[in-house]
Amino acid sequence: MIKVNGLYHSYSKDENFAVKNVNFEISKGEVFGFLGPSGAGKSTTQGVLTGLLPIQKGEVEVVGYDIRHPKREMFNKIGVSFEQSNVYGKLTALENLEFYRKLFDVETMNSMDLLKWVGLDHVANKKAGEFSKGMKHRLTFIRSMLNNPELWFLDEPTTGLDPAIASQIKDIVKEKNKQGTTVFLTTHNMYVADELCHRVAFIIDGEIKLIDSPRNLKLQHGEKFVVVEHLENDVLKKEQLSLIIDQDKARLNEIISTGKIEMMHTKEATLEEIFIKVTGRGLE
Amino acid sequence: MRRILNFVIRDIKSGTRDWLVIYLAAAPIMFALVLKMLIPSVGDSTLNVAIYEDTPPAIVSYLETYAKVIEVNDMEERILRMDDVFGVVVNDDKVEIVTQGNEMEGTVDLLKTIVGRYQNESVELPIEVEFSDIGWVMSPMKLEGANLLIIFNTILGGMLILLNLVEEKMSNTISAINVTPTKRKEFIIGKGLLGFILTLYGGAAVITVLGFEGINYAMLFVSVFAISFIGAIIGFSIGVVSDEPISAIASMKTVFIPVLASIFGAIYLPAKWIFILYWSPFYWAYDVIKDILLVQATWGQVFMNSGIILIITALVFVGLRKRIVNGLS
Amino acid sequence: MRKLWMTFLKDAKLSFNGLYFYMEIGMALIFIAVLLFVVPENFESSQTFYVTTELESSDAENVGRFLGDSDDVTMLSNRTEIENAMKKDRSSVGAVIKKNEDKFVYEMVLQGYENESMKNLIKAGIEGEILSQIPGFSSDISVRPLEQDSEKLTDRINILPIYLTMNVGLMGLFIIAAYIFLDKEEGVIRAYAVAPVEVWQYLASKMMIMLMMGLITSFITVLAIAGFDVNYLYLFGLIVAFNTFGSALGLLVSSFFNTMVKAMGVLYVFIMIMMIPAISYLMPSFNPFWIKWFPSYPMMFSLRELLLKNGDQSYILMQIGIYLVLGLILFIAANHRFKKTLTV
Repeated sequence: MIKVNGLYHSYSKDENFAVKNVNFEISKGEVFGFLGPSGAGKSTTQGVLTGLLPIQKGEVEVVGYDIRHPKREMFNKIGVSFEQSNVYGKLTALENLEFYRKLFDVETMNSMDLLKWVGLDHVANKKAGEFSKGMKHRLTFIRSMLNNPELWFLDEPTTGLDPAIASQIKDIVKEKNKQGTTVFLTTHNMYVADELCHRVAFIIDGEIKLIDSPRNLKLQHGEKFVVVEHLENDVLKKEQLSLIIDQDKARLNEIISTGKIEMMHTKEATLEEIFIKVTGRGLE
Repeated sequence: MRRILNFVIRDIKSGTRDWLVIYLAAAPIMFALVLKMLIPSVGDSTLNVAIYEDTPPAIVSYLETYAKVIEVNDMEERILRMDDVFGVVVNDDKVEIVTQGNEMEGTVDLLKTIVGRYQNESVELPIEVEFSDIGWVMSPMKLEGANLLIIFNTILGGMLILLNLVEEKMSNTISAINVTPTKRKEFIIGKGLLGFILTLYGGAAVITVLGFEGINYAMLFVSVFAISFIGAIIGFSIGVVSDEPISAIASMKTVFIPVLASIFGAIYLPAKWIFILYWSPFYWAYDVIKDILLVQATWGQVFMNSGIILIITALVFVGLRKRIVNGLS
Repeated sequence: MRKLWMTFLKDAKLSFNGLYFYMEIGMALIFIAVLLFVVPENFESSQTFYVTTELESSDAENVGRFLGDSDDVTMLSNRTEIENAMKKDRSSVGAVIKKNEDKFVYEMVLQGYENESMKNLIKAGIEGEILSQIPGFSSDISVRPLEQDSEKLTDRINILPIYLTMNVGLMGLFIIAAYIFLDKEEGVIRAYAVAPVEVWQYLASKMMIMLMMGLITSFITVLAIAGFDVNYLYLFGLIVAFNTFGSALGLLVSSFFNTMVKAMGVLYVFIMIMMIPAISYLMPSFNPFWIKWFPSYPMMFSLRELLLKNGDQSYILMQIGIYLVLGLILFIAANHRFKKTLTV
C-alpha cells in the first residue's frame, strides 16, 4: 500500500531536514502506527504521503501511485482525517458531508449513516460552526471515510476527545480494518497505538529509530518487573525488582522467604517506557 | 464540471447564510437606483438665489425661470453657509448681488448677465437665440455614473471570491479539498465562477435599472468579462494569503484607489495627460464601456481594449502566480 | 483608566504585528503619491464650445471678433463637424450662427439632455453678453462679496476633505466591526468576560486603535498635500471627533449582527450613502435640504474650512463639539447593547 524509500524533506529547502532517510513499507490490511513526540516529523511524513507537501528527495509509492507524478484520481482511494478539525462552519453537518461526497468519482457512503455511526445524526441539520470541539472532530473523522478509502490516514484521531468518544472512534477504526482498510495512524498516544496497530514506527528528530509490532517490542525491550509491597520492621516498603537482573532476583527471593508480603504483582513495560528507553526522549 | 458546480453551489449556500451573496446581488441594483434618483436633481441644480420677502414679484418670477429662488430673512447667514447661494437685493433700480466670495467661477458673471438682461428688457436685441439638439438625452452623470458602477461591480465580484477564500483559509478546509480527486484547476474555476457571474449580472442590472437603450449586450459582456479577471486576480491573490478578514478587507480597500484614480483621471484629465493612465486596466475598461454605453463602440475597439486588459491581467497574474499557488496548498 | 490603557497597549501591539496597520499607512502613501504625481493641481474641465457660421464673410469676421480667441471656443467649418465633435464630448455645446433678415440667429446646438432652466440660462447668458456690447447699455448691478479675502482651494487640496471623511469617519466603521467579530470568533471576548475589565474599556480600547490609525494617516496626508500652513490643533480635534463618531457608530451597528459579513453589508451600504454629500461638496449648487442631514456633509465642509487659510473657526469648533457628543451617545448605546450580546 505504501512504499517509502530514502525520503528526505526540508521546509527551508536546505540541509535542515525535518525528515531524513525515512524507509518503510505498509502492506494491505495493516494498521501502521507512526509514533513520536510533537515536532518529530510525523506530520511532515504524512504530508508528503498525502501529497499536501511536495516530495523533494526519495521514492514514495502510495496505493500504487508514484508520488513524484501524482494523479488526482489517487485520492479516490485515500481518506485523510486531520488533527485540527476543518469543516465549513456555515454549512450543516449533513451539507458538509454532501458537499465533500460530490468531490469524489467513486461510490461514496451514505452521509446520514456515517453521522449515525458517531452519534451526530441528531444534529445533522445544525451548522457545524455551532458544534463543540469533539463534534467537529467526529465530523472531520467521518468525512475522511466517505469514499470508502483503501488507505486511511488518521492524524491523532483521539487526541483531546473524551474517553467515551475516543473508544467509539477506536472501534470504528478496528471495524474498518476488519473490512480490509489499510490504516496509517499518526499519534503520540502510545496506548492508542498499542491497542490499534499491528506495527509501529518510532520517529524522533526526523528519523525512524525502529519498526516492529508492539508485542515484539515489549518482548525485546520491555523488562519484566515485579512490584512488591512488604512490611519490614513494621514499616511498609514498596520495591520494584527486575526479573532479569540477578541482584534483583536475589532480593526478591529474600523478601519472599523472610518478609511479610502485603501485595505483589508483575508489571510489563508500556510502549511509552520502551519509547523512552529506545529514543532517550519522552513523548510529550 | 460536476465538481466546479459543487463549489459554486457550496459558495452560494454559504454566502446566502450570512447574506453575503444577497448583499452583493442587491448592491448594483441599489446603487443604480440611488444614482437614478440623483440624476434629475443634480441636473436641475444650476443657480441658487436668495431674496428678501419684499422683492418685487416681477423680478422674482423672472429669476425663477433661471434659478431656484428662496426667500430669506437673514441674507448673509444664508449665503455664508457651506453651499453656493447668491443673494439678490433690489433697491429701486439698483440691484446688488451678494456673494460669499468662494463660489464656482463664472456663476457670478452668469447671474450678473441674467439680472442685466432683466434691467434692459425693453432693449431690442439684434440677435435671436434658438435651440436644437443632436438627440442625446443621456446626461453625463448617468453615463459616467453607470460606467463607474459597472467597473466597481467587478471589485465586488473580487470581494466575493476573496471572502469565500478567506473562509476556506480560516477553517483550513483547503487541505481537506487537496486530498480529494479535485484538480487545482477545478478548484480555482469553482471558486472564481461566482465572482464572474456576479460581475456580469451586476453590469446587466446597472444597465437595466438606469435604462440604457440600444446597448450591444454582446460587447458589454465581452468587456465586463475581461475586466472581471482583474477582480478575480485581486480576489485570489489577497484571499489566498489572508488568514483573517481584516487585512483582506484592508487590501481590497487599497484597490479602490487605482479604480477611482483611473476613472476620475479619464473623466477630468486633459487628453494630453491621458497616457499616464495607460497602465491601468480600469482605464481601458472605462474607455470601452463608455463607448458601449454611447452606442458607438466597434468590435475592433472591444477586442483591442479587452486584449489590453487581459494582457495587463496576465502580467499581474504571472507576477502573483507563485503567491497564489503557494497560498492554495 | 489604567486598565483601559493596558488594554489599549495590548491592542496596539497586536495591530503593529498585523498586516492591517501597515496597509493603512501604505494606502495613505499611495494616495499621497497619486495626488502629487498624477493629479494636476487644478483640473481643466471647462466646457468646450463649438461654433460655425453660415454667414457672409464680413459678418463672419465680426462674429469671430466678438467670440474672441477664448480657449474654450473652437471654430469649425460646418454643422456636420459640430455634430461629430459634440458626439465625442458629451458635455460640450455647439452653435450655428446665421442671419435671418437683419437679425443674427444663434442656433444653440445642445446634446439633448439639457433641461429648460439650463436652456434659459444659456439664452440669458448670450443675450446678456450681446446686450453689454450695445452702445448706451447701462446696468446698475453691484457685486458685494461678504468675505473680501475669501480664497478657493486648489483642486488637489480640495480632494483632501473627501478622502479624510471617507478614511477617518467612515472606513473605521468597517474595520472596528471586523475587529470585534474576529475577537468574538477567536473567543477572546469570552476571556474578557471573565476578567476584571469592563466592556466599555474593551470597546474604548478598540476605538483608540482606530483613532491612532486615523490620526497617523490623516496627519501624513495633510502634511504631504497641504503642508504646514494648516491648523493642526483643529485637525486633531476634527479627526478625534469624526473618528470617535465613526467607530462608535460601527460598534453600534455591529452589535445588531451575529456575523461579520452580515454587518459588513449594512455598513457598506451606509458608507456608500454617506458618500452622496461628496456630490454637494464638489458641486455646491447641488444642495437639496435633505443632504445636509447626512453626517458626512458637515464632516467634509468643516475639513474644507480647516484647509482654507481663513476658514470659519467657529464652524469647525461647533462640529468638533457636535460629533464628540454624538460619538459619546452612540458609544453609550453601543456599550449598553454589547453588555447584553458580546458574550453570546
